[in-house]
Amino acid sequence: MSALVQKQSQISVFIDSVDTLAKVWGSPSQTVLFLKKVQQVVSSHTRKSAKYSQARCTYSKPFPPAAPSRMILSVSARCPVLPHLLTRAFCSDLHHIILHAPMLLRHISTTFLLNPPPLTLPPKWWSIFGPFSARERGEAERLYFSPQYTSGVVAVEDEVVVEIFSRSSGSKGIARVLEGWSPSKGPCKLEELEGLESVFANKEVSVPVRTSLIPFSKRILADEEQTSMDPTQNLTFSLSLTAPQEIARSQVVLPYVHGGE
Amino acid sequence: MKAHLSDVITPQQSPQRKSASTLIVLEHNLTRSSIPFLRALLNESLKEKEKGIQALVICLLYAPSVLVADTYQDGHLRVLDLTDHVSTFGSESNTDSEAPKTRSELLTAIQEG
Repeated sequence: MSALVQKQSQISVFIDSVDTLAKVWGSPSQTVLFLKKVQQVVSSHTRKSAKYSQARCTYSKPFPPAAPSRMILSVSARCPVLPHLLTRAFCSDLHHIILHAPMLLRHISTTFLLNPPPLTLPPKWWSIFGPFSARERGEAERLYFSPQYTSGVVAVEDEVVVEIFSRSSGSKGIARVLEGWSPSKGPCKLEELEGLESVFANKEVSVPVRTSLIPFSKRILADEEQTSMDPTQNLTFSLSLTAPQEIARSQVVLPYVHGGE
Repeated sequence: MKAHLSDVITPQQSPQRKSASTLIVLEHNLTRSSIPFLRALLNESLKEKEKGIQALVICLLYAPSVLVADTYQDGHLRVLDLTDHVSTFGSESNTDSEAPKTRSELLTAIQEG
């Protein structure tokens, strides 16, 4: 019974440096094989816990489903093992968390005139940010330490822009979001990061509203407001015609107009 | 499917989830260290100790004190400090004999955990 109680718990296994493992063993494939074994051990731990929960449910009140065990790996962006860890074959349930400095978003904002969501539509943002952040992973470090970004900029060292890719075995597709995080605030919106104040200052959300979502009565009122505005009222010359001018205009025979004969 | 950082930090069971475990890959670079974030994940795992959640920390690069303030944690936390082992590896050391030993040591620790 004591063994069952011990096995009741879920486990979170933290490995602080996959890079070190890869260097120690000198081979990415050996490291991946080892981590796969660890992953299997962690999974079997959860299965045992689930069996225990079911057994307990038969004797007592329903037991809430337990959270799955987790393996948390810290990997550097340049580690050769990283691409292997992200495959579905390695683990179907994945949260890939990429830590960015807020400086990277400021750089994109000034260079590409592109601000992060919700200021920009997500498809447009990801089409630029995705390739840029992947290509500039080494460049981002160079940018970060360059004098252009170390002088005159509020640098809040603890703040992080977190990019999350999530994939689950129970649902199709992946989710991709950007959020902020700091040790003091915890998870927060990007707007709440001090390092991104300049990006979000005095900028309005540019997400268009679908016309079909506006109530019909409001749409009519908006149309009336538009029609009541006369665009010719403040011109220095007259574009309107008098009554005799309109009659004369209607009597003009236009060339190449057939009378339907 | 939606993903939020708070859901990642706090382990939760989703009814859609089918697999027995979740992998969290924390990618860092020179501009941002993963240590504060790892610490937050670890603290959150240990908060759920009344539900029996345990944590096993395998330290290969950083000393345990960098990640964990209190290594005791009522037996809910197990720290495996292998930083000394790792420092002996290198071109001079005999990695052929050391690596399998460390590998089996790690697997045993996880199975026991």
